[in-house]
Amino acid sequence: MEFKIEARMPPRLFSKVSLVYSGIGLRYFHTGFIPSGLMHLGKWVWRFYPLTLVRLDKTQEQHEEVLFSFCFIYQSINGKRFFVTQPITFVDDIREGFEFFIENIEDFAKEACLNGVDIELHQVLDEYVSYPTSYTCISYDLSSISCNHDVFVEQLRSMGYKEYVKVWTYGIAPLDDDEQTVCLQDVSPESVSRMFIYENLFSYRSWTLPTLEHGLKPFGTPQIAKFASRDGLTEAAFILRPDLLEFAKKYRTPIPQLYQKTLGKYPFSNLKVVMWLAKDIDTLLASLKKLIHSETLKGFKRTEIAGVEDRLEEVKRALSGVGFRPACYTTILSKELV
Amino acid sequence: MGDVDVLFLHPSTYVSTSDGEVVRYVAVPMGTFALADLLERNGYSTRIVHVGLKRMLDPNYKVENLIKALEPTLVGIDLHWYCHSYDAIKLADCVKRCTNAKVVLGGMTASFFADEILSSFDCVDYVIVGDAELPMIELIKALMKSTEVSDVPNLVYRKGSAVKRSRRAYLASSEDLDKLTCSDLKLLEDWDLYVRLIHENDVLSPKLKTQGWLMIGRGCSVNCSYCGGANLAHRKIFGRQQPIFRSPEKVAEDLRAFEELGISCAYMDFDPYTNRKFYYKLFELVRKEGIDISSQFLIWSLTDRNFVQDLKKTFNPLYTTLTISPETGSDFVRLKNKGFYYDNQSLLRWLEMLEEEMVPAELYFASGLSGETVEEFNKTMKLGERILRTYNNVVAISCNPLFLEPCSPRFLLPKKYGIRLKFRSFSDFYKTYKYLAEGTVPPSRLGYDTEYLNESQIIELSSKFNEVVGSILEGENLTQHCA
Repeated sequence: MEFKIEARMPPRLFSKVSLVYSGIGLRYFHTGFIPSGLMHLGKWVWRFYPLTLVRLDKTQEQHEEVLFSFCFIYQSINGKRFFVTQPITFVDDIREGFEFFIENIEDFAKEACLNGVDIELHQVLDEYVSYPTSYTCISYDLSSISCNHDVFVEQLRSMGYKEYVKVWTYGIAPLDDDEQTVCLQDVSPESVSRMFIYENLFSYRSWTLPTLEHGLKPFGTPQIAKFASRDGLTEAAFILRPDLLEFAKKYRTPIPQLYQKTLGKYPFSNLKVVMWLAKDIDTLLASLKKLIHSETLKGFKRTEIAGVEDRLEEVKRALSGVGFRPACYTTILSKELV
Repeated sequence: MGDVDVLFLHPSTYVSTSDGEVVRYVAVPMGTFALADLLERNGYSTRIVHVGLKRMLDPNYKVENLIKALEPTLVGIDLHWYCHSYDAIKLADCVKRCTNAKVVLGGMTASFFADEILSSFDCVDYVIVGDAELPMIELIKALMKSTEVSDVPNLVYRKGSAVKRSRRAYLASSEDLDKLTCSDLKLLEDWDLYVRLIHENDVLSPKLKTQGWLMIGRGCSVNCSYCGGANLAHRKIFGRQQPIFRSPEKVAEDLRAFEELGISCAYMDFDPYTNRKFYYKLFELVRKEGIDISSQFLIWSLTDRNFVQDLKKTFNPLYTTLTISPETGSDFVRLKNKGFYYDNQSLLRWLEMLEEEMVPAELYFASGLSGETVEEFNKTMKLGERILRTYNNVVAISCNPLFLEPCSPRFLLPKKYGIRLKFRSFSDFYKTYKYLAEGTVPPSRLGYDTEYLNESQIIELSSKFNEVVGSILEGENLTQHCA
């Protein structure tokens, strides 16, 4: 059997799985153009490559789509790298062609003098995971696909990949509404982001991609940003996003953010804390409780918190202690090329 | 006898720039695929070669080597769009220099200028004027049997130094179109690259979608002042009074074939009747057969909500857009130029409805319309800006200077449309694209001035529009970025 990789995203991907694109150039996505790029070693490279693995049957002159991933070029703290999103398979034999696919991505990365390749794989543990499900700007509805986490991890390990990070998402139906001593204040998302970058006063913080530039992470409205304070001092900060996948599925659109008027009125059920910082675990929990029961967030039926690194045992214990249950974990496997 | 009976060559437009040669207008007329397939089914071997794509893949590509190796009996070169005027003739000349093959041109530009082409260029043996299906079969049959071609319908040919027209005429009917298959893109070498490039001109960059043009019918019901494919042109060139459609079943078959070829998006640009009865039938079939493909649907007049909802539930939303060309922000200018008229308020209400239905829109404007002054064009600027700032579902918006199209109403009736023609003959188009290929500035690029604007003003107005739009989009990305 012969394989080849084509730079395109087949429509059947969207028929198979609902997705949300929330990256740069939202308007361009439907037109098929890749909206941005960056200079790398004096050459223009595209921001991302939609890669479809195709199996060719030369005798019957047929070809079949086997799997699909987005590959982003990004400036990480470890140099410029390729970031590969969760592979979506279209065939039953999920191992078929996978090595060929990854080897080709590595060759491409080497040719472009990139430092390494990172691959994001999800393991779903609950019935549903809300948006964003990825640390990139492409989120899939993970409940409608098989992520084949263990199979791909095993194959990648045999190809020299090592676990770079494992990050958990926890979810909960309404938390207890006991009296909390923290005060919440609406702030701009930028002020939370700035705090995230510059403040070292917070012992606990969510994991995000170590990207040094914009463009790869999910962005755009609607989002909610809050500071939690005690005695006038900021003790925690959060950025929350409503579940755009709900909207994407209901209205069959991959880019909900193009429809702000309807989006603004949409009664979302799920909410996710996508970025968080806290000085201690008690403050984190108190703030989460306060947050979930605050006036502005009334009506949400389920809340998730993402970016909980596997090594933060005490945070994981504390979340479990108040009723949060693991919704999924994401393993990022990496390989250095130089 | 060579390896193929009929070789179809598609001439791309080459433009020399300071960065080297670039290839423009990559699209191959859909009729070329239909003709190649028809000939194959009639027992003649064919091949389609896209010379522009070959050159993009290999700048040293020499089409002569292919022609010599294949030794075709007949070489068909499409000259449908005027922008290929120079390159089509250059290809014909190249064929003549390396083989004894006969050269036939076809397409709307070749048809309109058939007599002049045959009088001026010895490298062209024949031009088929209008529909070419039956004529092509009869032409190759005659050539293979070495019999007279004078009976081949729609053929213009040379007899001695005289240019003659066949007395037989052929006008394809809906039934004839139903006998065609327009989706066998594999007849084109490098077809898989072609479907990635067709909606862009010259960049071998990665794209999300692949695209195929769908053949739905022929003709037009109205006369837009600038359009070389207007009702008037179809009457004059083909003898076709009203548009004809293929059957929904045949169009659906082509959509299925596109899906199987991995084509993500069908480009559908045939919308001559406002009731759109044909499309309701087609969409129902597509849904019934479960064809999974997106559609870039170019509407020629505003639609109602039913149509939008039907389109949305039929096609995969990933790349589905509705594309419309209001051309101008001036109701007065639109009325003067467009075959289907609607005012700005109706357009805005339509966009509002699209936003409610969550269907993305692409909009195209133009400069150089009849009756357009700088003041009237300012209305276009304002409308464009307003639309972009109000509707996030408008995913593409741009403005282009109009080029003079052969056989368009303004070409045929320049006084009526307030146009001063600079191009009157085929040689004017030929010379312009020769200049561009050679990297020199042609005396005229657009081929006309209007009563209010000269060429450079027309070009500048479009640039100004695109600059403003570009800066709004750039600002939007920055804002989104920082949020």
